[in-house]
Amino acid sequence: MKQRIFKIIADLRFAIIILLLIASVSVIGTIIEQDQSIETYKLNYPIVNPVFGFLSWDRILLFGFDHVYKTWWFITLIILFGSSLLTCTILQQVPVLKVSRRCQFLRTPKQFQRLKSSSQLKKLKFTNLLARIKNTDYSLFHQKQTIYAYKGLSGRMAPIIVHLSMILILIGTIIGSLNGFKAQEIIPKTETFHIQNILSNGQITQIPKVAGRINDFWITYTKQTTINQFYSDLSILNVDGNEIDRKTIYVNSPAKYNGIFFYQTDWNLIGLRIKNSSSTFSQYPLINFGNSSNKIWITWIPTTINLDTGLVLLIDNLQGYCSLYNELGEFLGNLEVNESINTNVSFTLVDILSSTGLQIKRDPGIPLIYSGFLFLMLSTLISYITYSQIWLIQENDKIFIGGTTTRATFDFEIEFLKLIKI
Amino acid sequence: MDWDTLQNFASNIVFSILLFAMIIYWISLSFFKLNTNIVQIGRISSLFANGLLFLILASRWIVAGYFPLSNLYESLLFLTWTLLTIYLYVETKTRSKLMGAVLIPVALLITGFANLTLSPEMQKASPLVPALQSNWLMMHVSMMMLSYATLIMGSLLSILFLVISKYQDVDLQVVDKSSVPLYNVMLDYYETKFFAQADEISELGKLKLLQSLDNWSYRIIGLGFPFLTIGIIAGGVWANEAWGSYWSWDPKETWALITWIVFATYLHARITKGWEGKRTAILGGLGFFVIWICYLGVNFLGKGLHSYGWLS
Repeated sequence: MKQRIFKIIADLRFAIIILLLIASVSVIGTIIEQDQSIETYKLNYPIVNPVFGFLSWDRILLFGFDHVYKTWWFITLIILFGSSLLTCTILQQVPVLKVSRRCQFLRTPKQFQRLKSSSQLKKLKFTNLLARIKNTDYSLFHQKQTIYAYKGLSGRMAPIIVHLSMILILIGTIIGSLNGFKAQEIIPKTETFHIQNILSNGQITQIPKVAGRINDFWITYTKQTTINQFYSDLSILNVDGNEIDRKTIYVNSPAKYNGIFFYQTDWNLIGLRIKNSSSTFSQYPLINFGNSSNKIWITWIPTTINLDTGLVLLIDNLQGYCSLYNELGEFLGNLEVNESINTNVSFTLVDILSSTGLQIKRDPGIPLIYSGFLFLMLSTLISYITYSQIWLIQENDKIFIGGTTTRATFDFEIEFLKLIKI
Repeated sequence: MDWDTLQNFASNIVFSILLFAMIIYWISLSFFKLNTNIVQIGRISSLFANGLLFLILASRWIVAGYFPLSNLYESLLFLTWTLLTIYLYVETKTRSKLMGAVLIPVALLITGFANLTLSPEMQKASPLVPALQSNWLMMHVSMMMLSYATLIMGSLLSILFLVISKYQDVDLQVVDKSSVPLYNVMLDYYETKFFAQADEISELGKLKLLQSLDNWSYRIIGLGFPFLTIGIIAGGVWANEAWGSYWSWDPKETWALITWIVFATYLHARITKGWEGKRTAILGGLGFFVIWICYLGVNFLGKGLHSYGWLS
């Protein structure tokens, strides 16, 4: 029994402290880059010259600051928060809800003095007051000579829904992390793939045996030659390799099959196909020597048999051309697909080989999380509504009127004054 | 005259009008003997500046073909527009000159930064990258901007509370036991201060002002909090539709969550015994700085999805 009372008292202050702790600890994750290799931390936070005087890589790894949001202590904080939310809802808010739905009449004038706004009237008639109250959208309850009016009950009930929807979201996250998976595949155009490169999965995840094929991959460009959109034509195949489903995906428009989502996230150029003068086809691999946001690929095509001279080809787009340079780095010109070049050796650029990067994901918790989101959005909005109550007693020729409100004290006082104005 | 120079010219006009309005407000606050007509000039000029901003944003939308919220410049202009709109609405409802006096300087700083510090390259509307080509762009970013504007307004009032109460502990319940009616509180406070026979009346007026400030900041933050919730959720749902991950602890997302937590604690601290008044106002004031870190600090300092990469 004592423990229960302790939890009730500690509930709100405890919750506030936990929340502020979660907030402060989350800041660490924004300052120190997360989920990098140990070498990155060794490079940026050396022991000899620690950042801010104390941040060295060994301390970072010791406390888990390289993966703050997955450490045991962070998850413990979230669990504490969730349980505080749950106990608060059950122990405090639901009883309050039951009380609010009853009519709470005040019977003696003395009780009115405790109210925030109260007044004693002689000049106004009872019925006039009632009409005024009714005009401002109050629900009225009349018992002999006492009146109880309230407005905005939804604003009193909505906070409970807020808490419950947050709990729903947390449950959805737990289910998703136990049961879901995330995979990435880079598939050359026209090739088939299976879900094999798993980035993360949960304890009871089952990876589906699904095969797919990229039929086509292309990029559209704007007039200013910047990238407009990436498109992949994706087929889902059954066990025999026959197509079950087909969809063109692009960024912000994934394909869905059996609860598995396929997102367009990345692309790569892997090679150039060249036909030489004797109609032999060769493929030269392209290497990306830029970074993931500024890609530029390079390859080298020899022009002599003993491979001591050649042409450098640079390509950074999928518009169908590449740029030729000689070994001194001088620009020789652009070469389009199906165009031939006739220097010491002549060849034709036949094709630019590309691959698309897909993110494959299944998260069974999503329906719960989405409904939690929806209820959270609606209930936080409705919580804005203020819950006002007005009481009236007529005793002989005196009228006692009083009222309180939960949130909008300023507006309520003005409303109250308008009610009792002569 | 092409659109770019026209817009640039218009935003410079906005800056000067806001400067003018700010001076008017501060004059009318310092010399309260002047009647409210001076304030009307300030109000009308900020209304005009707001309309001009709206036209700039609308023209950018029409010319570029997408909602004007794709780069830093546009988001700063949008933020100023929402800030001014909210301040005009709140000032009409509360009839308090403090709103304008407190908010127009912020709007001025933002437009100043947008027009004078950002290079013309950054101000130009460029085609949207594939990741931004979604209807969610309108919903998520505009909701976040709206919530920033509302929360900035509310937290500024909290800071004002701390300034006026001179960081002392204030017992706001004393006011309720008195019978001073609560109509135009600003007028009451300043009139009683100027003509007060006894210090008690002016102290009461000051307490009444503090109580009103406390309630206004509560209501405004109480409205901004659902907006922030909707904005963060819209961002999560968009991320899920685009990359399959509704939450990835990106610095911007994390700081938005931190902002959400700070304001959630603000809203809850008011019900905690002994924390009303000064401590909640401290939380509200803290929220002001957290919003700026979330909105601009992360983009300039951090790395990740939302980074502009200036200092990385």
